[in-house]
Amino acid sequence: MSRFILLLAVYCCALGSWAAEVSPPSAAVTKTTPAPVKTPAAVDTAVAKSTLAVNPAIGAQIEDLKKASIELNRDLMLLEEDLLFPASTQIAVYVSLDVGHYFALDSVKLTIDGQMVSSYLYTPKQISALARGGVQRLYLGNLKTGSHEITAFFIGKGPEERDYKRGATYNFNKTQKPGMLEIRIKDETGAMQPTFEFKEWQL
Amino acid sequence: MAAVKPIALLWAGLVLLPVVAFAKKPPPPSTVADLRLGAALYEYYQNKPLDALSELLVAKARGGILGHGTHPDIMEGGFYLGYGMERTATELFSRLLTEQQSSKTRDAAWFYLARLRYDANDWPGVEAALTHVSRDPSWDLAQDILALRANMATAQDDTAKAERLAQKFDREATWRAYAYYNLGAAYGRKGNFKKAVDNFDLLLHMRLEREEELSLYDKAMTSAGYAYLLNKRYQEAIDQFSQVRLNSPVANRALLGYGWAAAESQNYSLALKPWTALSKRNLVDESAQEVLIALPYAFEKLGRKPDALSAYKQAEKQYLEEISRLNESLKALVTPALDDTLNLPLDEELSWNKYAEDHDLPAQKAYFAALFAKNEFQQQVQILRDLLQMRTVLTNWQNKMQLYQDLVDERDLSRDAHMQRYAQNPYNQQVATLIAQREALAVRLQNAIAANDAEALVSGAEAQRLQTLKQAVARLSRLQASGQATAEQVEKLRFYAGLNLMDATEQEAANRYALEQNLKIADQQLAQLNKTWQRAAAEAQTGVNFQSFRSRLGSARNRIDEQLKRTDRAIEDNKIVLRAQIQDALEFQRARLTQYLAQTRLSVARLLDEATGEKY
Repeated sequence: MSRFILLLAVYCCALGSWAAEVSPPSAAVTKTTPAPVKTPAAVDTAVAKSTLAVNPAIGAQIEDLKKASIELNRDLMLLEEDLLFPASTQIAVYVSLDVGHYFALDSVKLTIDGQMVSSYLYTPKQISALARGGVQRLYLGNLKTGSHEITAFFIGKGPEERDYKRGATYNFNKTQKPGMLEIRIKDETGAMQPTFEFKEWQL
Repeated sequence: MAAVKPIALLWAGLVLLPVVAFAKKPPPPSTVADLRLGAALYEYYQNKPLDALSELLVAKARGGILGHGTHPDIMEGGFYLGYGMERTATELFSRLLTEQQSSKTRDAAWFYLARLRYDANDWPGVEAALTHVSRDPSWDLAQDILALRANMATAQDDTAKAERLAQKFDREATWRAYAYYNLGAAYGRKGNFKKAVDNFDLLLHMRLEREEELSLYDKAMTSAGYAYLLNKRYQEAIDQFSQVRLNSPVANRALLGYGWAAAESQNYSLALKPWTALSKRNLVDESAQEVLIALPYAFEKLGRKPDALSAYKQAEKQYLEEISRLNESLKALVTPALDDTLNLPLDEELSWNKYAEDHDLPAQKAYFAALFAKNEFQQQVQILRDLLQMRTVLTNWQNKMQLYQDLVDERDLSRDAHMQRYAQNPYNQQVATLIAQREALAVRLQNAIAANDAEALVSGAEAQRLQTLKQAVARLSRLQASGQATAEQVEKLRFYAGLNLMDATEQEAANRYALEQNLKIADQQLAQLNKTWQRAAAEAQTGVNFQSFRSRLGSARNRIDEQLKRTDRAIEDNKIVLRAQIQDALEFQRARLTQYLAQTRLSVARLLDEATGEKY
């Protein structure tokens, strides 16, 4: 996919109703009905027009507040990560969805060295976010250096709407650097089946 | 005579309503090349711009998102726009344009700037920005630019230009439907109903599938129906109204228009059908209010005056009930019930109609639907929702900070205890003792092997017996020297010595293995001691980090407290503005209902007067 298409899609979502074009009421439309008694409809166009518009000064204050909140949130997330998940032991597992014609994801369970570390049930909105290119951080935790076995169990609907459960296992070596693993749910067109691939990422 | 609102006003209301938001053709699904960028997108697509921006900024702080050039910046700008931070977005795009960027990035940045200027009605600014876009932008961007130019032409009342631009859209572009609808609305406002209908009708030939596209289609058909109605082409008007879905947001307007088209063609019986259906719908809707006096009007025209009188009386009763409900709503505004009224789930998109429908809200709350149809009100409510969400996030952090403070204190205490234990039993002393023991073992083994001395390898009871034997040999030597030793004693000792040597020789391999194992254990103990000491040393160093964490946590707590205070103040200010807007809207609704009520009562009086034979 062109990444630019994705960017523009985000942009369109961001802008909301920019396709709207609003103009002042036209005085040219004067057709009357068989019952021409005047109603208070004229008030309609004047519904608190003066109070509806967002005050620019308040808008600027709100934007400053939002900016400060975003920066604070960022700093707090960094602090939390440093404190709870130091780089030397950090492991993050992500889930992404590519196409997904042969598999409709419902939930996933994740085990590391036989211990369940995460279990997640997806909402339609989250599935949609994955389908549009979003990547979910399924698990963030700590692991000792050395070799480990990670297993993910995917539950959902497979080809022809049949219940589908599949496990995928991967062995990896945790080093002193933060570990990043991606589990990709992809379509295998030839077999008309989903595949689950692991990919290790390096920082 | 019955009192109704002029059709023209209905038409005007319809075409003036802003066209709903639409998302472009969804991008083909795929994963992005960087997990952190994808994680930010995942949050954004769930309508969580604060989380999305935070993810993106954390990624930047950790060294940036790799392999994407300036796309993360463009994405960040888009996120800012989505979060209502136009000024920050403008600053970011303007900064990008001062740097050396790829043409794709520059095109995107210029387009975003054009959009921001469009929002500010800065038409020359829009054109100036668009002239910087390259001659061959991507397909999507080209369609977006066309849409922007078409909208701008429409906003400037240049329908001819807007029409030329609309024809340039690619057949696959979703924008086409909106362009034609906007054009139809623009022509309608200019009184050119033929052109309006022509443009609305273009939607008839388009393949529209998504709900928002179907809603647009319903609006177009309703607008076209009113255009025909104003042109006295009543049958065509009825045909257009008939194509509107009955569950559409504009269905009430279509039903009302359908009735008027029938009434205008003197077919009052036909008018009664849609109007009767409409009269059973929720009275918060403007068309449902109006139909209560349109219905008896049709009865009167059909000569069914008793039915008309009965319908007017029913209308009077319903108007009074509705006014009473509105009065209750207005009273509720005085109390802090606003929070409850606007308590839309924060993680859901803002859709009052959907929320009211899903939660079966009391009738008076449904009046807000009219307010929610106004962009400015939606913006104000969105600000409140953003502020409330910020407060939730900050409160969560506030709670976490205490937990983290406790965690740091506990870790620090644990480290201190650990270090104390090691301080009481110095590492060097432990190591020296262990090394001495290990060396003694190694020398003993080495000597025994070199001298081929099986007895040097014995240990435990065997070693004790050997020691006793050696002492006996020494005593016998002293006895022999003094001439006191007997031959029997000498022979006995020689026998035991031989027996001991035989046992030691038999056990030599086992004893040697045991000694080698002991050496290994000593080596392992030394390694373990070394490792433990290194860990202790590392923990001693992390004492500095704990201090750093304490400092960061303290600073964070202060910032959270300050930000919470600012947020709470902003929330209160925002509520005051919202309360005033809601009050204005409710009072307007009440004024309209009161007007309808007065007209109804006049009609009731008129019919009663006619019945008693009085004429004026």
